[in-house]
Amino acid sequence: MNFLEEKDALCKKEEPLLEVVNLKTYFPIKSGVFRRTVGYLKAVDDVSFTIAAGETLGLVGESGCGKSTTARSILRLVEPTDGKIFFKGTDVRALKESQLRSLRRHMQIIFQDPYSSLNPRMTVASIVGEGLRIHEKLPWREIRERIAFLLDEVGLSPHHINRYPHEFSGGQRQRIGIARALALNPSLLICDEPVSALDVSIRAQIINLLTDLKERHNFAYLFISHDLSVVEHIADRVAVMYLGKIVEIASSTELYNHPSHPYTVSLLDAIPLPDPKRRRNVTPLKGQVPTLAHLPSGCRFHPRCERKRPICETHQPPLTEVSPSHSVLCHSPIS
Amino acid sequence: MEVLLCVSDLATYFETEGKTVCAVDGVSFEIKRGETLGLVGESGCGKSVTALSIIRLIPTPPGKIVRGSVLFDGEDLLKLKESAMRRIRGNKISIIFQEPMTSLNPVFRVGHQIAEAAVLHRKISWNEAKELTVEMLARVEIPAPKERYYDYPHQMSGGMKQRAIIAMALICNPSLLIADEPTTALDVTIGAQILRLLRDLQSQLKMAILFITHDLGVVAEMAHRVAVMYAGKIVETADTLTLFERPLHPYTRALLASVPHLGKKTKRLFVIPGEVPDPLRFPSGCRFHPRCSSASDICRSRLPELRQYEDSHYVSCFNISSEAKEIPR
Repeated sequence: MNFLEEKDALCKKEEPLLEVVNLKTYFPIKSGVFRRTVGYLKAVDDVSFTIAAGETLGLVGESGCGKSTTARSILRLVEPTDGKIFFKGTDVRALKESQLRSLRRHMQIIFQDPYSSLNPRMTVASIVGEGLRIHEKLPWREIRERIAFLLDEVGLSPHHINRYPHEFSGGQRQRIGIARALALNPSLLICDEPVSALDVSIRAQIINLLTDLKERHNFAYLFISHDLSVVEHIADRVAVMYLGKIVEIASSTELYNHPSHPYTVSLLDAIPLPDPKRRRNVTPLKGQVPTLAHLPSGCRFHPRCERKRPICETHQPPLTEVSPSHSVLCHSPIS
Repeated sequence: MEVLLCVSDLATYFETEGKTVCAVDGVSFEIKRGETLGLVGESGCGKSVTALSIIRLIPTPPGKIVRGSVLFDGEDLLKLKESAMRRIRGNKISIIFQEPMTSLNPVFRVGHQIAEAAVLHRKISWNEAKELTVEMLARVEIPAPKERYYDYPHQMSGGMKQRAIIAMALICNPSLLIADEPTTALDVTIGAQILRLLRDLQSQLKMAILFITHDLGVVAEMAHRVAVMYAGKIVETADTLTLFERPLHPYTRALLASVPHLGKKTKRLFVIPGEVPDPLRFPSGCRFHPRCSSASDICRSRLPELRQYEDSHYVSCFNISSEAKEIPR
């Protein structure tokens, strides 16, 4: 329990809160009568990034690109195959199960689906208070006070405390999920598509809530989304994933104003803008997203890329720096 | 342009456990030939029930179309016999749904399912229908259409399935296509391909589209005119440019302000307080008044009607700012 606090004191100021180095998470593909492993599904393949304390990193990409697996690997909800994860300098992959449990109170996760992520048989009090009961070992009266305070903080009324999840709307359930994540005062919140399942008018409420909470508590967020306009609104830095790899990572302003990777450009062009005057006539990206089980050779984006050169079909591009805060995985980045 | 579809005072209610859900409650709009009308609103506002009511696919019971008329080519669809309706569905009016995974029958070949529509409605042989299907698959830009004809749905990706469904919907050359959130279940880049395809096909085939979506970006890109729905009613209709530039209804204005605009970063998003009302317990008076910042006494007691403000700009609100002059009828 205490090793983290010791680490905290030792932790140098400039050291990032979370450091992910060459993370790989593969799932075996089994086939035949004997369930032999015939190959690997490379969901996360050599991903590296850092998140500083109080910073928001947006992770964007289309479905199946490995965003959620990256998040789950960091928490070791799925076991990574290779690579290193440092949280406040602690090597997460080296921890034992019991140490891991006490580490997870500092890293919490909010899920996409507010319907399936809350246990329908538990009251709001037991959902939000479970972490406090396990980790803080406080008397029940104090826990109830804390819960009432947390509900107030996420914009729910304290008299909701004895209700069950089915009595709430989607937006309110997402607030309960946020209160549960906040309960132990974490330093990193992983938000896995927290607003994708919500209606437009409710989405704005939750986005503003997340922004307010960050200002109040100085959390760091890993904000996963497929919606680039939401990410632009909330993130300081943005990483774009395609088929298990981060293809571009840059500060938010840099990425949205000067995208370097052809995939980022197409992704930005593909968003329908709520402004008929800015109706653009760009050619949409051709082809389908290949499956992770049958990855293309060389650069994984080359079958859909308009800037493809012979080298792209044979060699994987290296991560090159465009500017100090902007790296891209491409043989011929757009300058 | 000639009016193709004229829906007036359409109301569809559902009976559940002795209670009545007024899913669609007095909706009126028109679609002209070759025009795209975008129907926007949040979940539960009655967009999809409106679409299903037009082609009479409301499960009865519990649902029932209680009043209104749907004039299609001068004929009231709500008065037709079921057999006559069946000749219109998939023929003159087609519908594509959100979920491409569940819209195709998994045990039949995709080509067969598309050809079936042509055999049923056009009275042609299976051989002719097959040729037509391959032509249609090519038209929706499915590569190697001859081979793809024999695919089963599980062999196709989501975007590919949605293309096949579009081919099925368009094989009888309908004059009206109802598209119910056709890109919502798809990835951004694939969704953009499908929108592009629908636009191209519309200009080739000169069909009208009723485009249902919750995404304001998609409406801005696709629609000629827009109708905004809230709690079973249309609160505002206007041509797309007017609606986005000069929205009049407080709900439309708030909705537009609450979405993040790409490239226009703001500190905070505008927020509509409260929740979408429960259709079992709609508020009295104007259904938006509990969430409206300019609600007055009249809004709490009386239901506003849809009134004309400019040429084709209709709004149902008591508190339209004074510069917008109502056109007397």
